[in-house]
Amino acid sequence: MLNSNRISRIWPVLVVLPALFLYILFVLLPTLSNLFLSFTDFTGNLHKPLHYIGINNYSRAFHSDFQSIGGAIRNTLIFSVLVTLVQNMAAVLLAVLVNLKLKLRNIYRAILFMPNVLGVVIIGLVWTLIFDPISGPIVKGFERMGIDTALLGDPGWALYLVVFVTIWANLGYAMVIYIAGLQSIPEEMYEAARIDGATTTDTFMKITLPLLQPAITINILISLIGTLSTYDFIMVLTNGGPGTATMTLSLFVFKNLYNGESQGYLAALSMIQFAFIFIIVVVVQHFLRKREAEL
Amino acid sequence: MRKKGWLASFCLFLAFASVASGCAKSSDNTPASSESSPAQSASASETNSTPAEKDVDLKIINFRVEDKAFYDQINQAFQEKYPHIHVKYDVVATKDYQQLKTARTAADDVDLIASGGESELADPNHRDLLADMNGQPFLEHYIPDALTAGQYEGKQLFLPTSSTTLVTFYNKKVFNDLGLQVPTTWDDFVKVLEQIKAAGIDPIMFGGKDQWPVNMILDELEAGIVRSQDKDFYLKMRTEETKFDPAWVEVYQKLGVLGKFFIKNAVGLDYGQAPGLFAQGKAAIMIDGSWSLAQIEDAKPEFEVGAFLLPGSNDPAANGIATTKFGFGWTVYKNSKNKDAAMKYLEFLSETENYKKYNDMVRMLPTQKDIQNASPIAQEISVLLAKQMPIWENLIIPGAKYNYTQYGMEVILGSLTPEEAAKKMQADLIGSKDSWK
Repeated sequence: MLNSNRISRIWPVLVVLPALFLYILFVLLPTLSNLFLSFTDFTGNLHKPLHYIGINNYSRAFHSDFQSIGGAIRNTLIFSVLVTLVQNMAAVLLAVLVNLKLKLRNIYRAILFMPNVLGVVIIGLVWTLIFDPISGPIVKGFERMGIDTALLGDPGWALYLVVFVTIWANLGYAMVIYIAGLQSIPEEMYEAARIDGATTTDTFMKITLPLLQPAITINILISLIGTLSTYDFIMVLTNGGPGTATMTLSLFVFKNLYNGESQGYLAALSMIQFAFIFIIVVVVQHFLRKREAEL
Repeated sequence: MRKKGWLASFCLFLAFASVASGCAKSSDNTPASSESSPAQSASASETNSTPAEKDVDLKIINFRVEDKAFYDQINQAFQEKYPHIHVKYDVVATKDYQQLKTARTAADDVDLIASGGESELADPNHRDLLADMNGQPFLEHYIPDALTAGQYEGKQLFLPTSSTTLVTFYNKKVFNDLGLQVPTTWDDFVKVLEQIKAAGIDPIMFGGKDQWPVNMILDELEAGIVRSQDKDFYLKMRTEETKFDPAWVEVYQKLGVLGKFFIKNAVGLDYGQAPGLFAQGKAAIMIDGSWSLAQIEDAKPEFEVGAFLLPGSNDPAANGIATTKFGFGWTVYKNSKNKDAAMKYLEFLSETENYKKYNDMVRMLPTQKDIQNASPIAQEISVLLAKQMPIWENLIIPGAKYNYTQYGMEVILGSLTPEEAAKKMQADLIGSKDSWK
């Protein structure tokens, strides 16, 4: 009996151990190593000795490179806020629509989810062709309407087009989470509201949205973290250009990796990026949880 | 019940162990990897090795994905000649190459490392990884200038197997139809561009979406404007004896002028599309590298294309100097345990017949003596190489920041004046002084 109790106490720890081991090996240790390397002049060559250089790497980022990093942070915030807001608003609306008792609704759901199963490079190639500034269908249509733009090559348009493609690619994922949220709302609540004379708008605003709040919190956090650290879509679509019009913080770090920068400096840049994302996510999460509690 | 629980946990452990071992095995296959089997090697009829020779794994990494077909062939032939050397050839896209190189050198798991050019030798971190090839007989095949470019303090650290130059391609039919002559001065060049534009033809093809193609224009302009006046200009930058501001103002000004003659929406056009569109006659001129001639020829074999050096100044003599770089080659890893096998591989690649095959396939400018490219346009480019200087990017201070690509694009887009661009470039250079190597 004593033996059985001891095993049942140890058992949860035992089953968690493999995952914990992998987490420590592949996440925690590299993260801590990165923090350590950010205070060194590490070149990437393990055969060369490391030197502690204090906060030199951070100081460089906030002084000589500040203009580039500042511009990248501004683009990251615009990109992240736009994608998070528009994607979630569109996903809620689509989730409500495909949750109605429509014929072929599973097909609509599948079509809307389909971009999520495509790879970033495929999405990039498809949209690069659509946005081709010489012979693409969009530019030809715009020419007929008298709109003169190079689309992804136009500094005034490029960031918004990247936002559009990112939303298109991720909308289905957010929609599925909202559908799950909608299906957990009891049908009786809608029936009671209708008996009390509530309109469709009333039920959406007073029942659907408040009860979807946990799904909204999850979706907003997922898209915030994703967009604040995204670089792949942007790299495939615009490579940060034209000029620096679509250069985000993650892409800035990624591109510096290939400019022969010291790994110590890159480690410092990625720690700055981590702090930037961490602060935003903690503040937003606090606000969203508070709102959930109020509702 | 308890027995079932233990059985389940045992199964779970086995599953975990098998997944972990599976992961370990699959990690060998990460880059596009090719190796010939020992059976294939053993079946080779012709062999130079003796039975006493020990089996060796020769590990090679490369970033030229486009040359994979050639290297697959050459690796097979090499293994037939040396059955005891098993070639393990890994090639990844350029963007992933730095990571692969860092990982493989950190683990001493590489013998031969492909290199993008002699400019990498300026970086002491890169030089520290390389072995000296001096004294190897295969070096005799190469032209002395190419070998010199691959040396540092007398050590032969880099073997350049091809070279490239920056040129201005032009559509011969358009030039003939409009009665235009190849320009030799900047003013003539602008007049030619104006005449082409007046004839309703887009003057310059430019794929600006990737941003870096602007460097080719800057490189060509710079040669005629800056180093034609002071060939040691970049050597004096460390002491601030020379500065980008005002020397580069004219470079950016002329870039801005050329930008007005680009094909419509050029800054949104993919660089990869530009040579094909040029061959289709969508523009009369394309400022590019000699490496694009293969793509131009393949896009439309009957297209008549010529080449000249972009005249950056009004002095024809200053404009007649080609900017070149030794664009691709091989280095041997210093800690390699298989240096002999690595040298044998380079010797095999350097054999005239194999080198010819390579040169005909990649259609770059040869670095071996008495080798000529069969392509007519390559031969036309060769004529332009009477006077040469390295592209200025080969002379930059390792670790320093210049940001010329970004500023060049901003000048084209009109968001930066040439004066501001030159000032910012100088400020970036001085601001990065702590990182200079």
